[in-house]
Amino acid sequence: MQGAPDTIEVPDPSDPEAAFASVVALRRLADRLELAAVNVAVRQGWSWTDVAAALGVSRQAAHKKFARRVERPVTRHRRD
Amino acid sequence: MLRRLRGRAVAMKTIAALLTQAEQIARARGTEQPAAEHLVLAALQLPDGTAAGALERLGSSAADFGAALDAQEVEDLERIGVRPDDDRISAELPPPGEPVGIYRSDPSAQELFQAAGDDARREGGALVGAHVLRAAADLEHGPTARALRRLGIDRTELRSAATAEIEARAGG
Repeated sequence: MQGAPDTIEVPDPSDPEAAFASVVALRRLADRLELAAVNVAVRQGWSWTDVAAALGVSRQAAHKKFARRVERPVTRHRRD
Repeated sequence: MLRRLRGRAVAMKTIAALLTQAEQIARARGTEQPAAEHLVLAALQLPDGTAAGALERLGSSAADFGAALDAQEVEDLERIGVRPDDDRISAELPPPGEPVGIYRSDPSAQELFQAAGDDARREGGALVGAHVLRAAADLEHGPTARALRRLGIDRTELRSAATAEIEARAGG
């Protein structure tokens, strides 16, 4: 890609097909970025309470969504 | 009776393989629940080879479909000025881990799976990968439809190719 534009082009809403496709791609990207970031945060010692606050969800929601999926730190004795 | 039971066991094995694989594919991409395109990717990897065979009849392949999905996603993001460093993000994703076996999926995958299963049942045969592709040929919108369009695959032709694979398998 040459000459990257400085401004963000939002798809013309009169072309729903293109707009929907971008929305879906953004959701997939957001999911991927979120999981990667939570994985790093937990490795760095973030508590579920902090992760939840940063993501704007409840602690329970964050734990339910990610606890099974992220790599657990090796030393972790207390429940947080 | 025994033959019917055996047929059912094979079908169950196919369904388990399909859903487990779809879950692994989705997770490897950092998506929590498989969507329709992940189910198609899983069908293309099934050992029965019929889904991959259908694409090959059209001069394409399972790898081509996966690449088209990725390329389409990049293009759909670029159109709105988003150019993520996906390698860096992917490097931090946790490993997909063991399948949970609960078979949760998003509505697009559920509908596609249902349609493929209904299709196989109507014929009285076991579900094979090509049933998933034949059902996917009915998808007019979404990532699967866009990836197929990108490959220049016509939906009617895909339906015929999948049918040919299903018939070849039933006959053989």
